[in-house]
Amino acid sequence: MKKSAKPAIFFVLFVFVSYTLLVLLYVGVRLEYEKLTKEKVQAQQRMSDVKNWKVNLLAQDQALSSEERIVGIAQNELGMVRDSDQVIILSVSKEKVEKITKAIEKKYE
Amino acid sequence: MNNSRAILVIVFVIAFSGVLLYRLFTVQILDSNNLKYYAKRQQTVVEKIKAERGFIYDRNSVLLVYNRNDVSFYVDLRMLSKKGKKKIADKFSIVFNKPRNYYNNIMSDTGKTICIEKKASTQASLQLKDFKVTGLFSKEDPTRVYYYQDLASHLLGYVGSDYHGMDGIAKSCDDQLAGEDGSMVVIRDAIGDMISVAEEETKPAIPGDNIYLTINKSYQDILQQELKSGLEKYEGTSAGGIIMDPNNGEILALANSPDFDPNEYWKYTDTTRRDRAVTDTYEPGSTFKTFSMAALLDRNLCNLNEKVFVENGRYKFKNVYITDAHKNDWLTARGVIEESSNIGMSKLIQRLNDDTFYKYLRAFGFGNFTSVDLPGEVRGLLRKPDEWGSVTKEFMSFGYAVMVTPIQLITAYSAVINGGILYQPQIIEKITKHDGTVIYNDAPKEIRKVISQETSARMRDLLVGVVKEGTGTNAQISNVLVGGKTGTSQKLIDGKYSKFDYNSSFIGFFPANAPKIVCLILVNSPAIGRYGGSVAAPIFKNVAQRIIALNPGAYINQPEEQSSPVPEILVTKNSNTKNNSNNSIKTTDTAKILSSIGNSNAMPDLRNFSLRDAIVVLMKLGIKYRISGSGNVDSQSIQPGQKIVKGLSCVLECKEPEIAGASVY
Repeated sequence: MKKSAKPAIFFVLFVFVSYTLLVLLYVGVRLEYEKLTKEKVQAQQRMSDVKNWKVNLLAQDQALSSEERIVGIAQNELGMVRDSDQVIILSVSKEKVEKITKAIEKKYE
Repeated sequence: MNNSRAILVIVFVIAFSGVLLYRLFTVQILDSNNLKYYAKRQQTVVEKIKAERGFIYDRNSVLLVYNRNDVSFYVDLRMLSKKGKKKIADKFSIVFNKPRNYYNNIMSDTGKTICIEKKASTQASLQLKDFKVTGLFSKEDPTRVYYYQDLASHLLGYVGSDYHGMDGIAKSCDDQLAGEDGSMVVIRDAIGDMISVAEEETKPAIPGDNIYLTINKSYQDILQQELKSGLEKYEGTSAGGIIMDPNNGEILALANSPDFDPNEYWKYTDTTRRDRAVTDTYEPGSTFKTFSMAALLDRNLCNLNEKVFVENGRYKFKNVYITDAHKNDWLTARGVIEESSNIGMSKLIQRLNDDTFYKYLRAFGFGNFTSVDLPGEVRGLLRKPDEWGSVTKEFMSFGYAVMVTPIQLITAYSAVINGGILYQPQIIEKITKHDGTVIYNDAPKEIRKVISQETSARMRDLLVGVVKEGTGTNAQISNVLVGGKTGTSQKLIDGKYSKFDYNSSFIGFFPANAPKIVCLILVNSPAIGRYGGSVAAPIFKNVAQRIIALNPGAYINQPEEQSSPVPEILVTKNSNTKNNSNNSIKTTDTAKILSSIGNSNAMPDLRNFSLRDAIVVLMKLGIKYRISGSGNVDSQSIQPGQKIVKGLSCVLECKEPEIAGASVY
């Protein structure tokens, strides 16, 4: 009677301890999961903030490198003058150029 | 005794265990649903994930509007201790550089939740990341950023406190920009700090779409600056301007002055925030003569070289006096436009019957929505012919008795100069998803062809004359061929035309031989100057010069192109005309036609001649003819300029003149 009762107690104890360990493991994993989930949400929030900041920098970059700003500084602060006010267009017909070329070639041949 | 004690202990342990087991059973099994419900209610909060609103760019991908993740800080005064208040006041005064008393005063109330810092920047909120006080909590509070403040404010609109569009593109494209909000279940502890998030119950937010507008930021900037300085210089009450690409209806800039900063829209009145270029109507005055003349030319009812008696500046028509600002006795039809003669125009328009004139105006889009993607657009006012009085048509011909919006006017004007095609004005170039996928690409929307290409070319030539020699000389630009029309209209105040308040306008285009830009400038009630030519034309010139300076090569004159005269065609009589003016010298008689042909041995161009006149010419030249169809000559079998040989036979294909594609009723 005594010999057969021992393994049964050990078996019950083993099952109980194993179950307890599994429960503890589950709780530990669950807590870790929740912690990581929280960190993930916070990281996503930070990423969103960084993205927003990047967009803000892009807008600043576009404003700083815009032609109007550069031209404004060049004209108002450096006293530079734009070269486009007096555009002079010289138009010579192609035929006339060819005619003159031919005349010159004829003369010096 | 020992046994009885042991039994007592065992019984007690068993009883205690039994109570515990019973309680456990009650909690876990019997009351589990109720308790789960209360626990969930206390520990979890469903939080909205606000969808990021789409960005707005200009046509060159310059970012105009975006979002900033600001944070607002609140305190629950029921939970906040005296020590906590002091800690908050100390820390916040350092981070936000405000006096301690500022925060102490805010927190002096009791028993409610108050906001102590609204829309703090992310950088500032990062400094408070590890600052924990019971009763202090923060909330995301996104802010819409209009980076260039008042730039294109009327176009871009603004968002209200609920982050929904209130005006401009923000309102008309609210569905696309807003995106779709998501939600997440947050598990919190007793003091409200996040423990975790129930991922399986999280619904991510879908960001809004990005919108690329047709506007050019540089042009917009120029237009706004020039309108503002023009308004100051001429002391007007307000001003408006639109720049458009006449070849496709794309709006390149649209501005009203005074304007507003959408970042702080609440500081401005409704009138200032209203997009007056779309919502407000006015009597256009002489700029409208462009459309009257286009209709006359398209119907071949007017020769630009014919002379009109303009009554020395005062004309009594059906007991109503029509006056001109510049007194003349005779003017050519070209001169009527160049000198902006109301009398001349009112006489010429009598050749066009009421229905046809109305059809043309409707075909140009007056009295109807342009369908631009901006909110609050109005139709304007164009009465039907059966509602006209005895002088309505004559007054309409020079821009009175008709109400238009600036957007209608520039859209119609584009049709006059682009070859005759009316386009729907466009403000959206494309819409992309957050990842860059294009979901909508706007193509030019052709509404109808209003006038012929030839008429359009003649109108361009005519409008160049206005700037070269007429009322619009202040809009001349060296090296660039500019066309345009001035407009000055008295304002109708309390049912009477004011002698002091005027709308001064100028609508011009360049380069005139192949227009790429059309620009309307309207100044409301200028105190200095009055005429469109002296108020609006110089503003136009400044705008145009600065635009040209951005890319001079695109606009400077091509000498061989600028001097291409548009051949003048001869005038035919209109049998439908109700009132024929006796004061015009008409060149419709056969003798004049024949004299214009001269003694040349070449075949004349008979296209657009009335059939009767064409027959007279052919008979005189001894050419046999055959007629196909009715109306005016559309084509001829012997080409113009071909040498005439006796015995030749010419087939004349005739066609009734019509407004192509117009569906105006």
